[in-house]
Amino acid sequence: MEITAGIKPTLENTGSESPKGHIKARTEKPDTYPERAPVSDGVSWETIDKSKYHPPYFVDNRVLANDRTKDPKNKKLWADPEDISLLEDKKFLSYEGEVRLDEKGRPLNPRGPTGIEGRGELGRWGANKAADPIVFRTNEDGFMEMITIKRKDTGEWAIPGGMVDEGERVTATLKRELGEETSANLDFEDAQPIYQGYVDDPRNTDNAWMETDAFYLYLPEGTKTNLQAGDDASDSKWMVLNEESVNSLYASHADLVQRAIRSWQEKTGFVVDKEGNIKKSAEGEIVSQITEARANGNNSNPDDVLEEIVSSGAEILSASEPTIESSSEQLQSYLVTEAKSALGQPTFNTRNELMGKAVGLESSLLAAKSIGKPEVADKLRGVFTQAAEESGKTFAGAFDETGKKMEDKNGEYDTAMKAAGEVALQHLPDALKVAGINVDIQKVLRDATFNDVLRVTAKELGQPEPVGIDPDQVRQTLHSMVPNNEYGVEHIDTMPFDENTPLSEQEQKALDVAVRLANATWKVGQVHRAAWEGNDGRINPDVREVFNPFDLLKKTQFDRVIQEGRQPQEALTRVGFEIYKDVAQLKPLVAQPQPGPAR
Amino acid sequence: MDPEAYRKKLELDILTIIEEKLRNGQMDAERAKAIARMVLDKLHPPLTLEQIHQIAPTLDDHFAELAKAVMPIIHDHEEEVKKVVSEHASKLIKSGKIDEALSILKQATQKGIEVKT
Repeated sequence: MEITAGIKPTLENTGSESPKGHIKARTEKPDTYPERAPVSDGVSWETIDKSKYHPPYFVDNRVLANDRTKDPKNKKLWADPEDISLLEDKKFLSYEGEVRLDEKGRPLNPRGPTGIEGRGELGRWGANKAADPIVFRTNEDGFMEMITIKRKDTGEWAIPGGMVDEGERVTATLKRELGEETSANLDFEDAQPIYQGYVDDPRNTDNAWMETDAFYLYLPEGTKTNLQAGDDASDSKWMVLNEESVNSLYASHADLVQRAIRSWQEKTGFVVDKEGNIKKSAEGEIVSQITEARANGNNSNPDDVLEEIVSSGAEILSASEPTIESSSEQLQSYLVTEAKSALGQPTFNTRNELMGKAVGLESSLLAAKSIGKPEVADKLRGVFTQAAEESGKTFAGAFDETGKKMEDKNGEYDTAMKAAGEVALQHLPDALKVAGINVDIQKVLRDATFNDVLRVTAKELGQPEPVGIDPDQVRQTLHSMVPNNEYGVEHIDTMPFDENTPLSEQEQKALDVAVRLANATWKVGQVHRAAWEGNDGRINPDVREVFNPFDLLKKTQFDRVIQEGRQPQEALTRVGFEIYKDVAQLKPLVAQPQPGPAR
Repeated sequence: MDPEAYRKKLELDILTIIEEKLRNGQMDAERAKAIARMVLDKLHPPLTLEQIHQIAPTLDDHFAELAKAVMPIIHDHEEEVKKVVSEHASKLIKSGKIDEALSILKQATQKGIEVKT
């Protein structure tokens, strides 16, 4: 598999924070498309079983008819040639980073298989660049509205965006597309960028996908804008933004609009409620509460006013708490949001409470999913959150009052990291109890070998169960991949191996929960650190991985090793070693073995 | 002075500061909430006057804007200390216990002296 150079995202709202990852591109399609071959959630180019993946090939006739190589002088032709070897420029650029090519030299969708090969209705091989103008105003009744068009192809309401022409500036595309589809004439030079990256679009295929630059513009009160549908639109209108209308927008447009609303709210202090009402800012609400209390004179109790202030704030259109159904990207986005929000708290403990809650929820959802018991997620959440909060408190001495990690307190930080295992072990029996896993966890941790860890890891990564593991080979592989100064490197030469007596299925599940709990307890300290290192309210890209949910972290590492040219077995070993570090943290803490037959 | 009335007066002074800062755009809602939460935690009734005097100087540790409400409390406390110490020292001097009076005056300059009113 060949890798070409890619361009890096320039906005923070990209990559894993992009609008809902890779769902519509696997499960939806335009009417003209053939049925997609089934692709499960989380399957990547590395993990898909190629012997069973036979997607239909499809390219729309309009795409073939607009092949610009047929008449290079005709600037109206917009499609790449079907024969990819005729492409002059084979550097496939993507906001997602490096673009891989298949054996035929075709670019591969960076989010993974979609169930259809070819380009479908998309003109370009690889990323098809669009621009999406989101135009807001407040109507006479105080509701927030945006310009929308009804798409001719699907009948859905959408942002009036369109494709960026070769060499065209994005702001020019925004103005042109809005004009073509709605007849509105607006200037986008001062528009606010809100997203740049991959779009989960039903037209996406294995070899062609949508990416966009989305901007928003808020029109001053009284701006006259008459709308008239044109081009690809059968209708256009000012749509009141409420929860229902936003969520029914085409493709990933709901995510883009919600981002724009949040950005506008942050800039203006106004909030938009679920019905689309624009309300007074939270600051204004608090002033009103205090003024009202003062007007009541002696009848008002300042404690009551303070309580009202604490609980004040309109419910805004925002991401709700993730559920067992949430994707890794949604979990990561939630964790980032909560960590950044926690920084506004005045004390370490109040910050830790929020961060522990976020880490606890994220970890428990993944744990419940991993052991195949989604119904215990709520109960696991309680245990994981308590453990994360408790562990988080031990990091207090390493951070100053603003939340910044103090560099001269590395000792405190390292001590807390090491103590995290103890906290995890204390809460582990409760976690197993609520998960309905009845095993001797002390024995499981004592007996767990690297073979067992690899089995659990392989299952989570969708890899075949490893057999015939050669300890010397494993150590050699790890020494060639793990830097000598990496945390836990010493375990490479001391890890136990046992091919013949694997843990039972229940014991493997217990081990899985133990590892996840251990991970959550030290992760909370890392989240404290990474949250503060955010740059200008955004998360520093260098520390973004800290916010990756555990499973995404493993998958990212697996993919990275594969990209380095290693075999899946080696990538599995590398990820397994990371997991083993958590096991190694717990092993010394369990009770010594009782006399009896060896396992 | 009624400790509960004193506590509520301090809270009202803090509310006035919050209102003023919010109106001037010098504070956002999140900070106002954080202050409110902290005040509710620290000034939870019932409190004695001594407790209020001990807690008050900590209120602006993380929220410097509260100094305006905290300083009068600290000032009141210092005046109270001075008054009590002076009265006690005067009585000692009048009864000829000069060394004891000097000792008490020295102690009064040290932090943490407990004054019974």
